[in-house]
Amino acid sequence: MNRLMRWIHIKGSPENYYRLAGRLIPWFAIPGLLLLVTGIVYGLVFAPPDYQQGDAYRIIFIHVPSAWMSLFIYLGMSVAAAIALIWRIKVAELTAMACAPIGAVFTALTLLTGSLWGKPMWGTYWEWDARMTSELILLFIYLAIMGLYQAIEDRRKAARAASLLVLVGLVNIPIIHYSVQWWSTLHQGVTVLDRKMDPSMLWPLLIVAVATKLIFATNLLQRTRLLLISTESRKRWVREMAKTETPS
Amino acid sequence: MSLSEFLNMGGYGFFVWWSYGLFAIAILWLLLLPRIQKRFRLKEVRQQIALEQLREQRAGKSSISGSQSSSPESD
Repeated sequence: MNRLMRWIHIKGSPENYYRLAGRLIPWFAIPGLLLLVTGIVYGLVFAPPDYQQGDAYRIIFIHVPSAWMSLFIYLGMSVAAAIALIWRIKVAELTAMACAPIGAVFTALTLLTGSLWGKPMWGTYWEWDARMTSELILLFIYLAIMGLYQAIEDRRKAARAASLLVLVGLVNIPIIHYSVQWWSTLHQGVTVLDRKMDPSMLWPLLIVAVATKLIFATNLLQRTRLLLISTESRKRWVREMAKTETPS
Repeated sequence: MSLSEFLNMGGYGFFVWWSYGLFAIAILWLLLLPRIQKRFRLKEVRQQIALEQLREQRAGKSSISGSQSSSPESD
């Protein structure tokens, strides 16, 4: 246990983490982008039109993966926030803080693509039903976490305060998930797991879902590295790196 | 299937292409912005180093000439 903690401490040091993350990025970025293009071309060109919704249903291939990411990122952020609060590991603090803007983007995409799908299918861009409202609240929670992190000057204290807000906001996640069961909503229920989806429609959805996870991983590492440069800017390793990096 | 048919998306082209367009822009923005920001942050660090070196030089000179001492830490 002692050796394990020491290993975590050495490998989890900001400098080591920065280098490791830099080496990992291409391994997530390249398959992520390839899968994303594959899934989108599959979904737009090769998947057949829906017998009820025609071609409008093709929005599902980006809407549902985005919605999954909006929840998945929040859960990941909560794990990092809990680790940050319990063990006060700097890299965990920055990982949690790096999650928030990515989660906000996927939540905004969920709302926008859902709105653009709702107009032709339900006749309205927006309805204050439980699923949509709770997803909008999720966006506000993400923005509040980002705002709180920016508002406190001491970066360590800011990260811990925002991490606490992350854990408070966790209560909204089951509400979003079960909203279609608890309330009668305009939004349809669980499609992918309950109803049988044709493989030619399920595959592009799953491919994009995997691709968005890889893109999230890429972006998380990029953003954590960026936060490490900012918070460690007075440390020797950042200064050495800044000097050697070609000013282009 | 012709290209115009494909772009028309059975009459839902507006909704489908706006969705995919926003999605593409968001993903590109997510992935490209940190690359640009990293360059700026490292430039800031280099400027900070240069500034500190300049202060050290000034402090060194002033102590040799015996004129009014300025401490680099004070400002």
